[in-house]
Amino acid sequence: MEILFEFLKTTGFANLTFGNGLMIVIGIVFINLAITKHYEPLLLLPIGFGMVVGNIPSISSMALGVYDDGSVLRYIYFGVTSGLFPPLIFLGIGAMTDFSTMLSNPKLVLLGAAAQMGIFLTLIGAMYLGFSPEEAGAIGIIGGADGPTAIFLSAKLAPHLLGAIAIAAYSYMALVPVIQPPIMKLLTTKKERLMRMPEPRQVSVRERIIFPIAGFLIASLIAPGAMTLLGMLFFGNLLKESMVTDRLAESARNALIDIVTILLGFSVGASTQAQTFLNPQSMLIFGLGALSFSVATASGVLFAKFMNLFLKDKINPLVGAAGVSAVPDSARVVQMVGQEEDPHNFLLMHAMAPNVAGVIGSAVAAGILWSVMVK
Amino acid sequence: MNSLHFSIQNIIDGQGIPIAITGMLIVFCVLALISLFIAVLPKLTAWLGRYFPETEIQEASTPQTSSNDAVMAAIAYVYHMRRQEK
Repeated sequence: MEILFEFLKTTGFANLTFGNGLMIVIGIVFINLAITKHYEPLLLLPIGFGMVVGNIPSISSMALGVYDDGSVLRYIYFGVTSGLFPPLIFLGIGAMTDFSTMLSNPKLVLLGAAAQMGIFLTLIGAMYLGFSPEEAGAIGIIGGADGPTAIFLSAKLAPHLLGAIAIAAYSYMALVPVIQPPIMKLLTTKKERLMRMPEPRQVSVRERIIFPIAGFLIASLIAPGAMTLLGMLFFGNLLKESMVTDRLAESARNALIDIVTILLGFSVGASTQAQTFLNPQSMLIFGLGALSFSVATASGVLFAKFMNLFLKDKINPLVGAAGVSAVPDSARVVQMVGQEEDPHNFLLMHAMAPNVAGVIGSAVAAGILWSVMVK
Repeated sequence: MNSLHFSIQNIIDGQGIPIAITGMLIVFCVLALISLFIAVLPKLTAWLGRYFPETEIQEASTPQTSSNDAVMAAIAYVYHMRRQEK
């Protein structure tokens, strides 16, 4: 009987706190959003289930949780804390990205730069709120709307905020169709939203092969901190475009990225134990993340309007919103908002250009912040 | 972060504004250079094409599209256009 009582003391029911219960409910909400609303299901479902797993109270004498030395979850989470998983995801992204639309309209690349404004304005905002420069840098990168980059940088600069930053980044990525349209509509007129853009030109195979090599050299020689992420991104793209390594490209864009996404999502979710996650800092990070994302969207749209002052072939300003690097969701949102005005206006291919430029831009921004703030 | 302490001084002490301006400048610089490179890329490939014709690469490596894929693409396009009309 005594053994039974001892066992009952170790059950989750006996040790579950209100915070754990709340996080489990949030995890279930994430799972529900993934299944019923299809909001980034590949990410929200593993993260949501990880949150449920991570908030089962563990027994102090047993290595079970993400933060317990020697636990299996800790070994999986090592891929996050060491910054190993994000570059592998970039490899897969590179192997599935088609840079053709960007190569056919180089001026749209600048929209990917403008949208990074959110990162740096949020950095200032986070410093104002009392976060250290390293923490502020890690929080600001949420505005890049790039989960792997946010995880990579926070693992380097502010590992103690990694869970909150990762959850915020992925939550806002999932909420792209909710957050972006009101900002896009607010900053554009109906006439601007109706603007059509010329068909992109055909891009040769040779251009597509040269670009990943040259693009990597340009970006990494200027910002070496971005070398790991961009190296993997462009390497993956070269595997695809060279057309002589189809098997490798196929593995990178399917099996590898899927495995890493599962492990990353699940372990990030499991890192959100109520005891470490539920605090005022996390709430502030969520607030700053929303601000960062909104500023990034607005910057892209406004910069497109600014460019139109000088361009003969005008850009539909909606395309600027795709400068945040949530690939391909923000490009899809541009298409959706554009088609609300004119169902025959196809902006998707144009929006993919700033979208992939935004991936490069946010990785460069992360590299800059890392090299400036590392001690 | 040990406690909430809202102050402009935090930004000044952390060199927030110089970091933000420098960061944005570098991001713009990198993407502007990439943009410029992309703009000259067609000329570069045309010049390279004079010495190493591109068709050889394509013939050697481009996977042949099966007639089935082409038919499927045509059907998908017509279906898409029909849905747009409704």
